[in-house]
Amino acid sequence: MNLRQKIGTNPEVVFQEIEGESVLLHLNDARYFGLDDVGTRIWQLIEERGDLEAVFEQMGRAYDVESHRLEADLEKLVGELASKGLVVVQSSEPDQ
Amino acid sequence: MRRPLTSPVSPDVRKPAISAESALRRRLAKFMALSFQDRILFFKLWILLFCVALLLRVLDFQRTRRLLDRLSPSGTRQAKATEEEMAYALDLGRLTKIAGRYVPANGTCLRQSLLVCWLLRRRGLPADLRIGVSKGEVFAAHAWVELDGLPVNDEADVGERLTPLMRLDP
Repeated sequence: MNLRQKIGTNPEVVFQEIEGESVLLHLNDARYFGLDDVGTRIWQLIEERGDLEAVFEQMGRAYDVESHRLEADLEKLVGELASKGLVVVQSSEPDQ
Repeated sequence: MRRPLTSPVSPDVRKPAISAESALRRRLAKFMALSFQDRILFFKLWILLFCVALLLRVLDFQRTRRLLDRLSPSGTRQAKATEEEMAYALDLGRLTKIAGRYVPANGTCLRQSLLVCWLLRRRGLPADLRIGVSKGEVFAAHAWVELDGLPVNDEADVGERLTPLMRLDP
């Protein structure tokens, strides 16, 4: 994963926030997943921005965390979401 | 907080030999207490639950749902169920729950609700499939069917106890 990648939520996923956390229901197979408050905020930013770099910047502003740690955690979460078909990560544009 | 480990059953403790037999007798007695029509419907539902489980395994939830929609008559559904139709829907919900107990690992609320919803829509009734979630230590999702706002295969307050996730309208 690199921060230049575009990312979008899967339209077949229903998102519902509950008391700061959230549930994601994948309509294709009716599996559901939970996100804690930080994961919920990341999901919302993915929906709003569609851009990993923007998500990273917003999270960096909102949370007191070192950037390499934030990048690693973000990469891990996005990887899990993508592996379960909850988000779609597009390839980054080639460098010119 | 660490959960206490459950202690293994001591090899010296013997379960009463009669328990499986008496459980079977109780189930048989409950089945025989059903009316003849209910018994026929029970078997039909039991078989259909296996079919729905198979469909979900082969196709996914969305495709299963679309297939069942195609198998329902198209056209305008009636606006409201009559009293007789509501009684039928409640019976259907009740018997599907019972049949679900005899479909090991396959009688989940989603499968039962898909079946009940489809059977009601085949009759032209405006049944909704609802999915909600409760938040305890972990999230737990649950599916049920409503007809005219009344749950037909669950407690009347299920919609209040759970946070709605989605509703599949007819």
